[in-house]
Amino acid sequence: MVTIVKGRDAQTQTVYRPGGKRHESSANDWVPTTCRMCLVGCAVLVQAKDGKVLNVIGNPDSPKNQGRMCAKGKSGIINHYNPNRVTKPLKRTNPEKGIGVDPKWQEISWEEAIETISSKMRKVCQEDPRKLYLQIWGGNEMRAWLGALGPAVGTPYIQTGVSPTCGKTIHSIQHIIAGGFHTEPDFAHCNYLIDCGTQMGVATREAFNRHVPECANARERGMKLVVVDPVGNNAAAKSDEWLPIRPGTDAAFGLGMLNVLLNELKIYDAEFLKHHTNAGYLVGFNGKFVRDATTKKPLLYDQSDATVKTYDDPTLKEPALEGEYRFQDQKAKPAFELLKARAAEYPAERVEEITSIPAETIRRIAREFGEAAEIGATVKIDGVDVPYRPVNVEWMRGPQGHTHAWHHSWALTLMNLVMGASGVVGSGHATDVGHNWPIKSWPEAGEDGMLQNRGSAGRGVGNLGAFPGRTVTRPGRWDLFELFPVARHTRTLVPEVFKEPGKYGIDHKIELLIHTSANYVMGGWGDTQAVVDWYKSIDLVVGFALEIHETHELDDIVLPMPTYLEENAFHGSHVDTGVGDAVAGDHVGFHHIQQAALKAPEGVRSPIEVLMEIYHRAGILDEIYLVINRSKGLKPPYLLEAGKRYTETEILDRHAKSLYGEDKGWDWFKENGVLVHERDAEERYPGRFTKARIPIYLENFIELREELQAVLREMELEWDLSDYEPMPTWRPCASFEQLRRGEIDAIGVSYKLPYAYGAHGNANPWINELCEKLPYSYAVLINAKLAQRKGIKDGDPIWLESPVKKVKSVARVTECVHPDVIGIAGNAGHWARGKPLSTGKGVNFNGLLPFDMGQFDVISSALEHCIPLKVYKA
Amino acid sequence: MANQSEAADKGTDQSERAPTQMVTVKVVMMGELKRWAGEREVEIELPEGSTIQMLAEKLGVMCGQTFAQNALTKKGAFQPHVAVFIDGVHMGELDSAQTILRGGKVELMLLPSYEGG
Repeated sequence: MVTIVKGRDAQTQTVYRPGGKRHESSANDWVPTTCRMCLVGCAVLVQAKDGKVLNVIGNPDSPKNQGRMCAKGKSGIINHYNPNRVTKPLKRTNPEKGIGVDPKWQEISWEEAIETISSKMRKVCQEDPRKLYLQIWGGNEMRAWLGALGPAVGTPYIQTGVSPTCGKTIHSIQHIIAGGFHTEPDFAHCNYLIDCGTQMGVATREAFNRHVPECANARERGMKLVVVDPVGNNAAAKSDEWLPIRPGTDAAFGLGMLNVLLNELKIYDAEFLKHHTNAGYLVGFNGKFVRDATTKKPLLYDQSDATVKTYDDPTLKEPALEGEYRFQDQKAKPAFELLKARAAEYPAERVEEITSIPAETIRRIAREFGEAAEIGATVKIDGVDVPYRPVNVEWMRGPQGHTHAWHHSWALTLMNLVMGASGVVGSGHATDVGHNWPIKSWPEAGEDGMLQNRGSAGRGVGNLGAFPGRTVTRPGRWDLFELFPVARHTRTLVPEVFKEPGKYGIDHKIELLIHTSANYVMGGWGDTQAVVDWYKSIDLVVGFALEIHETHELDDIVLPMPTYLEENAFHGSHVDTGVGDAVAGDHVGFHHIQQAALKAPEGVRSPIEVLMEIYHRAGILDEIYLVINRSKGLKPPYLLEAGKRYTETEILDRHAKSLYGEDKGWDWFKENGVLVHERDAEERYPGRFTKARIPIYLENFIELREELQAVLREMELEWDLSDYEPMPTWRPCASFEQLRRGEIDAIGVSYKLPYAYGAHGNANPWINELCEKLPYSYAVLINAKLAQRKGIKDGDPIWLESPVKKVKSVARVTECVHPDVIGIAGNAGHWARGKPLSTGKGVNFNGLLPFDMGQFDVISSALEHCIPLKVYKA
Repeated sequence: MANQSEAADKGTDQSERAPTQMVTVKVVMMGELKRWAGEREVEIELPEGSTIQMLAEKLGVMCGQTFAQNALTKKGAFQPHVAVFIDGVHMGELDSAQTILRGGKVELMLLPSYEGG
């Protein structure tokens, strides 16, 4: 079946619908909607009858997952029959809060719940909106409607994520190198993929169900997959080559690869570096750019006429990348020359000592990667010449989870940039970059010609990048955001600052916290007791709940909510960008929705309508409407009007028609589920179409360091700011040194399972069954050498002792983990009464994480995820 | 914040030197921006042909140091995370900072920055 979509430049578009069996198979039984069993948001078809869900299958209409599902998604069926489901508002009657303390819930009416919350909200909005804290993770409309409180009333505390690592560097870096948000390889053309601390293409990440077959197809046609990871995880199992790396040494690996490429083999994309980056900007003695005396613009040395010119001089032809030049009475070198010199500090033999990856392997992988990049090649896409660089280094969770997270991430990023492999055919791509339709949005140049603004696409996902950075001031926020001028978010610091708020000059108290059903206490920070202490200090904690997990055990009021099979949302897929759904590379654009396939139980109300009632009573609904109008891109005549009230479906209809036209309202999407549209060559491969330079040298970090030094001095705080430098370097995390000194037995690291998600997945009976049958899920991985040294045998009960917690687990002795490492799967080890099936199974990784100021990256605020462990038989 | 008459006076002085037409822009500052600026709404007169970039520079002078430090770059542009809407349309859909203002309303918002899961 083919559906025709109109509206794009008045041309007719054909919907991508390879399956098209839905309407033929069982009339109206199959409802197109979205899976919410993890962050991805795959398009699914739900078969329901008499109020019961019978089956969930992947929707072949959607490019997001192309009809495929994973174990997490399939298990969503049984979630719907959760005997521990909350269906009535609850009030805590036990004033004591703590780990394992029974809240002694009492059912209350919606009226009592809404009045209690709206009264408190009115009070804090009138007194000081900073007393309001929102935790809004979740792929549904609730995120937008809770998040709107920030711009509407002025609280800075909108915690949009859960994890203390996720997004700490990736989004900031994607912003400045591509104007994007996430990344994915152009699997259709990539020939050499290196996964560093991520399982891209095999077991995790955005659009996972599409990536898996794409990666498999790419491997079948010859793409090489190299996995660099301390754990021989699912990705390693599928790889051509697994390189077990010592945790916290990614920067050394990246710099070692750069050294081979730039200094030994001299493989790099000089044309790209000259004309699309700041590699040719001249750097003076102080590390800062040499600038034109009048315009203050950075200067380059043009070899074509041996003169110095500004970056935007129309006569600039051949900027020098190497050499030394005398100008303005000082010697200056192109930034690229300095990068080469930095890389030269990391010869393969030194990198072997740090990472434990053999020097000859580093040289071989670098050579293979460089040769596969095919520098200089182009291909025609829709008649347009586009560079062809079929190589990519993907990184994610691993490099981000360290005290030097920025440097690990940046070193790996530079491997792609020096190859010119970004946003072109075969390379890595940022998602959600260029759009010509339905809303125009392109990244733009700002100061010094550098990529600075993402365009309008970021309206729903924020636009915090690392350039030029924010002005450093004394903090006023619980998350010390003012002291992290390039960080995307710093919410992870809150429980740490709570220990000594006076030290940082915090002058207000959090009085009202509202959170979605994500499990923040288990997955959001480290040291659980420190987290619980902070929650206990808040006057009123309100949670939207499906079941009572560990975070809800600290709530004062619990509000029941629909399951994803009972819920509506206009954006089905992951992040609400206000544009369409995030794609990258050689893919069509698309938009799919989430709609209720089942009726919610009596007593469960639409969270959006509940929030609207709370906002109305608090006197802030009109301000919320204004934010919703802008953030969702609503247009006349579909704007929400002050003083009026709307149902949830009325709003969804206005959103749909604003983006796609009068004939594509909510009813059209309910019937069709998915809208697909073509994307131009420049939208698919925006790398060389973006009119902005991208950095290989972060000059702005020097000035930011100086600002930070001044403010910290005033505050009498001593932070090591040496990480604020323009080029990557490797510095050890604490556990690396502790291990070297023999003070600990191993470094604990986490790895993801493809069949369990976050801090709640394994409470599902089917997922639990998988975890119990697959021997590594609830046990921990220990290398055979370490096990022998400690006298541990396979299946032995063992103790894992971190500086903040000691837990019992079971040893799985294996060669599939680095000898220095204990591999911990997922984030399990529940204790909440409302999750009896999963109580006490597996290890709560986050609960083992040390949590003090020394554990945070001074640039990104990422929390160190190398756990110093003592390991012994129980 | 400088009062509106001062701003208007500056505009008048400028127009005396060159007979420039002026446009009036209503700026709405939402959430924290309102706290930093001290006011939710302000009317500003700008010479015809002025851009969003020029508006940012003017606000940087008018709205005080706290506003400038938090909402603007050191060179006086809106920070990338300040969402600018011109008569309801995101400036990224227009000509961004080079969009010419022809009166009407400019709304400034700090939309939540998404972090990841």
